[in-house]
Amino acid sequence: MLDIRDLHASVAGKEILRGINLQVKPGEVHAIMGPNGSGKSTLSSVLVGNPQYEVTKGTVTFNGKNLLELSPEDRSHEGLFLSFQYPVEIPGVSMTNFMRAALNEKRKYLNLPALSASEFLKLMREKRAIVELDNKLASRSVNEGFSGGEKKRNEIFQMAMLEPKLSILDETDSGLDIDALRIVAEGVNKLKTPETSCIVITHYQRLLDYITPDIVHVLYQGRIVMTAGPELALELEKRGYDWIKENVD
Amino acid sequence: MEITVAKDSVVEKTLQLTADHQLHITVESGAQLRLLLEGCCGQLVTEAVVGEGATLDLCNLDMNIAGTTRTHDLHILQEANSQAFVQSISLAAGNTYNTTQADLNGEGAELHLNGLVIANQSQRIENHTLVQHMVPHTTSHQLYKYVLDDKAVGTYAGLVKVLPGAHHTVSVQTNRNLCATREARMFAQPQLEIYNDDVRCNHGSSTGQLDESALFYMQQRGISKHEARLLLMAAFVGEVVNQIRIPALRERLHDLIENRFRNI
Repeated sequence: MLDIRDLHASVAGKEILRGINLQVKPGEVHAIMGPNGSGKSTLSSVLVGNPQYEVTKGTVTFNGKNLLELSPEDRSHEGLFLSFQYPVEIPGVSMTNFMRAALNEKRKYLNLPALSASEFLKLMREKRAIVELDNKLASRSVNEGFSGGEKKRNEIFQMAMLEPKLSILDETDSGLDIDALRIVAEGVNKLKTPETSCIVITHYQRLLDYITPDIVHVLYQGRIVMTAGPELALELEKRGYDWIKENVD
Repeated sequence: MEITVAKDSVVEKTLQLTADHQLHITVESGAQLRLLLEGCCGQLVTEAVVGEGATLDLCNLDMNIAGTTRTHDLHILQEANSQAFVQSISLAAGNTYNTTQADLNGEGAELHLNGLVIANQSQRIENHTLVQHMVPHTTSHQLYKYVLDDKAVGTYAGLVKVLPGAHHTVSVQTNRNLCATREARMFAQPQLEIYNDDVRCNHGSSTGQLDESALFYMQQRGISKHEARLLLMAAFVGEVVNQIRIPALRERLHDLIENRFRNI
């Protein structure tokens, strides 16, 4: 599904990613962990095409297509989704208009007819239930005045609406209390199918208690320095990152 | 032309005028009038007297075509406990020069004076406002928003005067502008003159660009950059439209704005 080879990327002239190799197959859940500043969020930003980051070397193939050549919106249409660490507030743009524009542009890209108003509203209702998102929130401006937990639930709601093939959850657990964390994680699990994959970026084991990864990677200084099964996350929780840093340095 | 709404009468339907060059409006005490002035080019002078406890909704909609110029001098006199909701909407082509003066001359008078401008190419749109608080306990709210594209030039020069003796004045003057290109220019001059103690007056103006992080967020959800810009610009000016108290006009303006941004 996703094949990253020797990916280098920089922001404002500073090299952050220094040779990432990562393969994600359909149905797999990968966790990417690592200390602050190791390049986790840069990796997710580069994959979705954030213009602030410059790819200097390497290739990324997504379902057979050269991902790096696609615009951010076409990457989305191809089935790539990012749950933002800091979801953006958009005053004056209602969730309904926002979601309708997103969904209908995707359907146009896939040569599908636009949804009728009633089909669309029915879909909104169904998907809202997955993350227990209040109807009131859905009628407000995008993320405006939402609490931290509501913003993250809204991210997963959008994920449910767009049905991506590969979802990247960038520190979706940050700023969540334990109930919100459970709702968000259950939402992600409900959306899981044998064909869809997930990359979970996190500092902590606690999200992985709910979303069980198949493979755990440790990112450090812009490279993946260790890859193992879910037991690695538990070990990191106990021992921290110092022993890995020592091995690398 | 003269329009007089007799004491305590309510005109239930919104009057729609293709703007007359000389218009005198009198809304007598306790009466209510909703008026839409709509037209292209020319020089217009409108005077409105809003009597004690009366209400006037007045929307001035430019429908200029390219290459034409429209000037509109509007003078509003408000008596005690009157309410005026006034909008200047410029979203067609051509040049527009609006001069609006409102005199709040009776205690309890309340003015909501808003403006919306969408301009592109080499259009020039100016709004000059003077709001005078002449007696105690009067209120004015101003909100002017501009979206300037290409090489359009916008001007907002707004002066709020709180005259001697007009204590307990409340005045809010807000001007927000988006310049979509480097060539677009906005001249903003929010001014306050206060000759009195015990008043509450705020004013502020800002000019900026579209929020890049919001644009990218929308793109990540599959909304093209072009469409995302349209949504953000429509949302920006929507704040002014949403304050209009005539539902049918609100709906029509939302459509006109969308069409304007899509160059239909």
